[in-house]
Amino acid sequence: MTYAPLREPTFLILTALAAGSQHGYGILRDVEEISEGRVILQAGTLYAALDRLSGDGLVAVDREEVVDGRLRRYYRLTEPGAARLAAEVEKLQAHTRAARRRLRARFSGGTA
Amino acid sequence: VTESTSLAERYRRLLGWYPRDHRERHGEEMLSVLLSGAGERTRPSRGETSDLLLGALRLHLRRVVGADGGIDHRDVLAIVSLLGPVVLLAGTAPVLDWLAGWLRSGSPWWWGRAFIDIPHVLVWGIWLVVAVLSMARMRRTAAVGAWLGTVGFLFTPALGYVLFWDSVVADTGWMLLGAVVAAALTWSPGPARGWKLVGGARFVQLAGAVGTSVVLVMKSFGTYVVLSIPVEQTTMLRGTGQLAVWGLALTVLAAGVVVASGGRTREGRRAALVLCVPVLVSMLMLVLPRDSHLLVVAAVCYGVPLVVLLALGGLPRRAFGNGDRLPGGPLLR
Repeated sequence: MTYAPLREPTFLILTALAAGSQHGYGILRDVEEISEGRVILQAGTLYAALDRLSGDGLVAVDREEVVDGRLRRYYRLTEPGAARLAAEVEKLQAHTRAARRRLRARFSGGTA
Repeated sequence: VTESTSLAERYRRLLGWYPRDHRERHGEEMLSVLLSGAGERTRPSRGETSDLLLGALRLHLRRVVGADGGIDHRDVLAIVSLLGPVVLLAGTAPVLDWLAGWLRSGSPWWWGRAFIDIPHVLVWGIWLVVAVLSMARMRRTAAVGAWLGTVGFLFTPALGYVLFWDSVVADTGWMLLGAVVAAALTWSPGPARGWKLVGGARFVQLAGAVGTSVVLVMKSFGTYVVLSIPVEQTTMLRGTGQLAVWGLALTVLAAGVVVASGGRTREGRRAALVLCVPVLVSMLMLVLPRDSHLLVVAAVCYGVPLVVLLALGGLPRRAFGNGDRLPGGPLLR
């Protein structure tokens, strides 16, 4: 099955949820860490993405907690979400392999 | 008021721009995330402000186009494909009125008019066939007929006996609905699915409402007169009684559409809005000055129904049954 490519923030949000459920603030921090500080999501972007991903069935609410009087809602990756992320990883790997092969050929050709 | 309360208040104001259902589901949660990341700040940063406003705009737009997953447009179109051809038959009133006069009089004048009125009769005849085909679940054949009927609406103003402007005015609503019905018959699951969604009883109710509406229009001074002569002049000449009957005809039609579409479901409500386009256009034309430029008429006839449909379709919806209270959380203002 072919999918439309995931945009980088979406890819990073799904990646942040791949190992286990997280609450909103945790996802923001994790995305920053995964991208080594290159992508810093804001709450508005995160919740617009979560709204869309929930609608598409890729993420779902796992549980809710109230910590210090504040609502904390945890999100998890659904099975279709995991399959979608795995497909994207597979595609990116294939692209990376192709790019690496061609760069290798270019550099070996250049030194010959 | 502490600084953190003030900051929370400012965040709340920004979150107030979000669609209501989103605020109910995620408002307190977003506030919690924003406060967690605020550090020592006493007011939202510019980046946060623009991000929140853009996020709110994005969600509103997603709801306007129905891309929030909460509405199945195929079901909306399926209902329209079943009920639309029946609603369109309400527009046959002037033609039926003329046919009745023709049959009653037998006058040569009526026979002479037949040559210029026959195109109208043919177009409405096509829509009658489309309604029958749609009821018989013959989607593809009905779709072909619906496209023919829509094209017919485009050409009849040039052939009719009334002034071009008046005919355009009187037929615009039907033409808009005709185009939507044709698209629905072509690209939706079709009348069979529509029948499953609304049921036979509601279909019969709509047919009754359409029939009543047609009779009422014929009893009043008719669509062409209402739409082509200023209301003040018409009421001065004929009194307000007939105008009231004409208004009643539109009301009966609109009520029949809402009941038949199934007002309790989002798909039903959206379908009802689409099916009420001719009623909306008729009301608009009633208040539009008679000497308006054709471009103004076109902008009002086509633009306003479109904007209204989009705006109504994008109204925020409740995520929970009642109140604005989140489970386990305080109210978000």
